[in-house]
Amino acid sequence: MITRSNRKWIACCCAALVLVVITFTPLVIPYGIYKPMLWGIPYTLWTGVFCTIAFVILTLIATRVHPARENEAVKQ
Amino acid sequence: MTIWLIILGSIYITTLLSLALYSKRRTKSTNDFMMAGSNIGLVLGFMTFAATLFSTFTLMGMPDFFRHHGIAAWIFLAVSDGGMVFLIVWFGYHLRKKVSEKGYQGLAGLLHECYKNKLAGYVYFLGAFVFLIPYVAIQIRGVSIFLNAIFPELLPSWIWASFIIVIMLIYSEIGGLKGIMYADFMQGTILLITVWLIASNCVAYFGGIGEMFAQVEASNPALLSAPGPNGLFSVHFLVSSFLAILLIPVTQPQLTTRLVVMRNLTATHRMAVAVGFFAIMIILPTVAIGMYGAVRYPDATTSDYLTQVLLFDQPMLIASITVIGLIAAALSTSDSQIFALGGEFRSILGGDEKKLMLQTRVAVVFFGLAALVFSILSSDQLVLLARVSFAGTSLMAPMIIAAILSSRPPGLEVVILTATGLLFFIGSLFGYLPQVLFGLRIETFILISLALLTSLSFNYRRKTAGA
Repeated sequence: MITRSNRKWIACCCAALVLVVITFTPLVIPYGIYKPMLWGIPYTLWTGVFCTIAFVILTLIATRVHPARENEAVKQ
Repeated sequence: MTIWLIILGSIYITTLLSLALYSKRRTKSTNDFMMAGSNIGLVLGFMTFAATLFSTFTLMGMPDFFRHHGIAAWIFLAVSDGGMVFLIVWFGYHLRKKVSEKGYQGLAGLLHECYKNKLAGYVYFLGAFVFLIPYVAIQIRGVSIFLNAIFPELLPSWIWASFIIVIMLIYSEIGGLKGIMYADFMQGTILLITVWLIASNCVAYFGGIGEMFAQVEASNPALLSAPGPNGLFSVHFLVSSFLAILLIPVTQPQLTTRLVVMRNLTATHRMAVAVGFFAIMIILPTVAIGMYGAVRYPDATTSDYLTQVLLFDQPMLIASITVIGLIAAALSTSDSQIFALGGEFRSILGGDEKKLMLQTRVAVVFFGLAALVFSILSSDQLVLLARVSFAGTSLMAPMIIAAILSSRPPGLEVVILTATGLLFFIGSLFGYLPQVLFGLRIETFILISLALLTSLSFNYRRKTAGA
């Protein structure tokens, strides 16, 4: 049975997968292009930083919706 | 600077040994010594994981990587680390669940239990040994070359390397895993402070971040985009590196042990998030150090550039802290890896606990000496050698994941295929096999093949068992 917690966890995994795919497309690493710059920072660097932050935020969300979290809470 | 170095170095070594002795007093059993009592909380767990993960290659290798190959080095390491911490949430849960059923002395022992075959443990242990010893060696080599550059007349680099190995072995043998974790806490803090101090000075030299990139644009604009001036950061290379780095906590024993010894799953999960933030905090300043080098020392050799940027261009106190920070970075990763190899060795042996502990301690010294010998023989390409280590161990991931996820013993064919894959990769490193197969880097090709074949074996056995 797929619970609400499971659905959220699966959604997180899908989001992480999409993020991985996006990271390795020209959307983040266009060949030889470094503009538009953000506060003087080249394009691939600032988009790369955003991707890393997005991964960490997704990880944070994933820890909150992981299906085993409920069992852990019961144990405690 | 020598006076500062003597003062700070003495404080550092005294603190390391005190922490080891403090840990020794609290060690009451073999489990305490090898597994730190398996009750590690969030703060210590996160700092030891981070300090073990980020090493000399972060402080020395990454700036040089940014200087030579440009800002896509961020995608190479930081984005891969972001993916890795997400994977910890999934893998940490399944690993801990399996450990609660089978027990844990080391990953090699766990694989032996899961596959019901000793060969699985031996293949894992040999794979970890072959790819971790060079990684430890390059940490030691990086710092010893650096120390030799600072004091060219004082000691040859192999004596510096020996000195580092001896310090590491002393406090590891005294304090066990908990002692190493306390040391990691201190070393991770020193590393973070050091890298930010140097980066601030580098940015201050340009007068701001925007100005820094403007000067890089003027001197070598190819550094500001992928694939970089030497064409290294192709999508292919980045994806292949992503896979290798992603699987580090699955395949490298010093990190899997840290996932197991956490107090509970909540602490493991929180630790993953904290490591993600730490990754950003520690890699970000290396961009500035690299860009500084790209403008000021574009043609310098690696050791000349590092000596200049980390030492001679810094105020005396910061330069002294940097030297300590570099030693700390090398020690914090190497000690964990050497100790973890000792743990793996113990997990594939059996017998009397007292005799086993003695054998483990002797093995740890042997692994330290092996790393020392390799450090004298290895090359200076820190990041690329580290990548080979990540790629090599990542090939064992399908075998490990099959064992962790399967409720029945997976087939022996998975172990044999993994051993074959490892031999193929080693063959390619020595030039006996091509580096690229069917348009893919050989490590990616082997990893994908192993994943598919393991999955086939897994499903076939599940179906035949159910029939």
